[in-house]
Amino acid sequence: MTDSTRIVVYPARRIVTMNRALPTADAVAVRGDQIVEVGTLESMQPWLDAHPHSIDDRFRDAVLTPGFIDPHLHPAMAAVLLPMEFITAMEWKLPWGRVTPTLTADAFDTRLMELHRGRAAGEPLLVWGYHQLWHGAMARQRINAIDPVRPIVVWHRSFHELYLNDAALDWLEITEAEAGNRKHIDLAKGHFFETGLGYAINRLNPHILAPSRFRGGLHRLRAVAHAGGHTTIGDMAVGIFDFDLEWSSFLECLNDEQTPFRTELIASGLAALGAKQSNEAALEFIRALPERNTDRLRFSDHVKLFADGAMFSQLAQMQPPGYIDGHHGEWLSPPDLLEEQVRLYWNAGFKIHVHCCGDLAVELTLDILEKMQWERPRFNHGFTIEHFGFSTSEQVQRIARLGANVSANVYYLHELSAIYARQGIGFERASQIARLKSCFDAGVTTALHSDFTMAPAEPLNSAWVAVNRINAEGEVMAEPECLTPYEALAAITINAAWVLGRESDVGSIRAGKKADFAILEADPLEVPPEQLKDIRILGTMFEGTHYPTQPAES
Amino acid sequence: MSVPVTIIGGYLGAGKTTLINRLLAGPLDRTLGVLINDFGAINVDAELIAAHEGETLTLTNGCVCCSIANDFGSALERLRDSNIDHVLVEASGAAVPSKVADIAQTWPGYRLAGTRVLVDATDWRRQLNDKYIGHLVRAQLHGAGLRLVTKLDLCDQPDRELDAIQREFGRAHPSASGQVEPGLIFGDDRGGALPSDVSSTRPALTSTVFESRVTLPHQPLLDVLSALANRLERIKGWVETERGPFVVQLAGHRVTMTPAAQAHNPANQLVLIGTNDAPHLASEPLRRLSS
Repeated sequence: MTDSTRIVVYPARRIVTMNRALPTADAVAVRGDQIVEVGTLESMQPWLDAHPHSIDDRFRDAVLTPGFIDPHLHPAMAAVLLPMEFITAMEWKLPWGRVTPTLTADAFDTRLMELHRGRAAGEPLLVWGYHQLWHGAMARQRINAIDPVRPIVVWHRSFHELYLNDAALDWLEITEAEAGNRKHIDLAKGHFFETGLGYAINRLNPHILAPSRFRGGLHRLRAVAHAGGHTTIGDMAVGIFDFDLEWSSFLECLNDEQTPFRTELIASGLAALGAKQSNEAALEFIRALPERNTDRLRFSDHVKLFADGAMFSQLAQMQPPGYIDGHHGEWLSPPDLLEEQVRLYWNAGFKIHVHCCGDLAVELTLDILEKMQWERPRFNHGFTIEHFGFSTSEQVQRIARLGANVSANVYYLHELSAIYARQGIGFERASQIARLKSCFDAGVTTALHSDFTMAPAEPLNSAWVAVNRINAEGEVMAEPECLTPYEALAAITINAAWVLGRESDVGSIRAGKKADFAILEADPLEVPPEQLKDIRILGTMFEGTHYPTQPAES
Repeated sequence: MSVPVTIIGGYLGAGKTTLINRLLAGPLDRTLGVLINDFGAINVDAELIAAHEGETLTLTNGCVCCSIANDFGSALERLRDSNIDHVLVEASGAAVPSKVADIAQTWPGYRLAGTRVLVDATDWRRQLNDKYIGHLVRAQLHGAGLRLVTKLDLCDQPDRELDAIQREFGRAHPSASGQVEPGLIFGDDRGGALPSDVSSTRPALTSTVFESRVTLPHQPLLDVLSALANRLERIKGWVETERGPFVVQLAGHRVTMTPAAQAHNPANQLVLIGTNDAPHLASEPLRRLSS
């Protein structure tokens, strides 16, 4: 328990404050959960003369930055994914172990066999990360050869298809009589895809959404968020699976002293509409949510709405000339419904976050925002374009003129730009995914997020992409849109705090803010930019309590 | 036996809900399950509703309506346990019905009967030229098995609008104020009748609601319900016995009583559905128990 009256002074090799008037400092004085002074031991002497204090030099060799903030991830999706075993072509750094790349079919089967042997008899084995380009063709016979008795589920990296072995088919009571000869189900191969996947998931749900498993997944998310250096995260769509399951699990798993971060909870207006059956009833429901708030879990005056389909599925809605193959994206909400929802929440004073992946979705959302400003002008309204995959430079100017924020998943640029240049929309527009420097230059409050599990929950990795704009094939894409390291650090600290409406108490290191720090081995503003993602995170301080990072097992 | 599924699509305001309400209120030769996926309200006329439980409505004619609320699969699974002859899916205004149709072709226990897309005769030209929904509305109409043109009565030149729609997209039928020949909905995409599983001589379903405010004796109640199991098609609702509140379900001639989280008001409400006067007769022993 922190003594709430005694001041503790932490000298550090450097403190990067993200407060323009005092960009760096030597020491920070903390009382309870609050920063009382930032500066030098000398400059803070009047506080120390007046109050009992101690000097704690545990961070003397480290660099402190504001605790990182990811304003848009999905704990519920992480809770479903993280209990699975990973066999992936890409490396994943997870706090409980590093997943090394598995690049061949033989290596996949060897790893699957190891996982099978290391597991109690009869316990189902769910594996995520299979991709045919590396791991060869999959079929239930191939999984049966690993083991015909244990139920084994092999989930594709995209999440859009899966394979079941014989035992898994039995376990889920999927029979030939029922599922043979159905579209999107190839029972001979145990393959479920597109709408067939929905059927398999319906059978898997009692298992993957079982409260005990879900809570185990949330505990893993907690470790992931801590390892990434976060002290604040935003759940940008509470209710995505099941509101009550999510809320009760958060209370159990993300609300205790072992949780080194706070979670800002933003309800999905679309999920609430589905559950409450009218937008007005959804508004009433969402408006009452802050009554539930605890120290670490907070609902406020924010709501999440949705415009178009997913970036990864090429269902983002694009302005002409659209996709090379001529297909179109899709709307998650019919445009007239989105406008109706925006108007309702705008007039109720909410800060509205709209999921927009394609430039047609950005255009629609800005048209609606412009209409709202005409009907009922608001200032400092916190309206935020979420994801911001494709955009035009003119749209950036409109965002600025309408007073909106941008919260971008910059990882799209890294993972997708090379392949989308060839097989999506062409090089010009693919290279300009996440047009972030334009946003900074236009004065738009711009943050970075991971949308975890869509991208690794590692803010320094997001910052690395934003600064270097290096894609998966090592090519620099649209160099004029590279951020400076300072801008990128702002995008994972103070700007992210603005997006969540917490700018007055977190996101920078200054007197009066929460004592939330990321404790780093090196200064992100000093290292060569291409090494940003490799800076070791030694731990965090959350509201005055030190949470060291456990060294990863290998 | 797989249950036929008809998809009802069209952009917001095309009249999907009105059409479905008209169908449910009119004479029906089959029991419908209606799945509603337009992000929100089950907008069924209040006088048709016999019971409302969670996201499911049971209607006085035995039909069942549920909100899909983003989970089509769970809704289809729930309906598999009901005595449903035909499923209508009200697709989201943002959906292309030919894609929704994939679900009926994939989900075990169902088959696709056809897709119907409604189009608003007063607004379709504007919609097709709208930069946000133009492509969507076009794709909906091109992908339809049959097109139903609504609001023709509000047009100055209804024949001209109908002609223009037919020239652009193919065969279309007028549907004034949601009135439509049920055969056009339930038939296949060529507009003819499906070789139906439903016998036209099937006796009409009727329903009765039993309500009471007193606590019922548990074992005698269970005995009465078990005796009714073979005489009724469905029972649905809740009761309160000395052992607490329960949800009651009769489907496939099996009665289940599941403990409920909370008591309802009134304490007992059961919708009894069966043929001819069976529901009425069945309510008698229940009334005796509560007197």
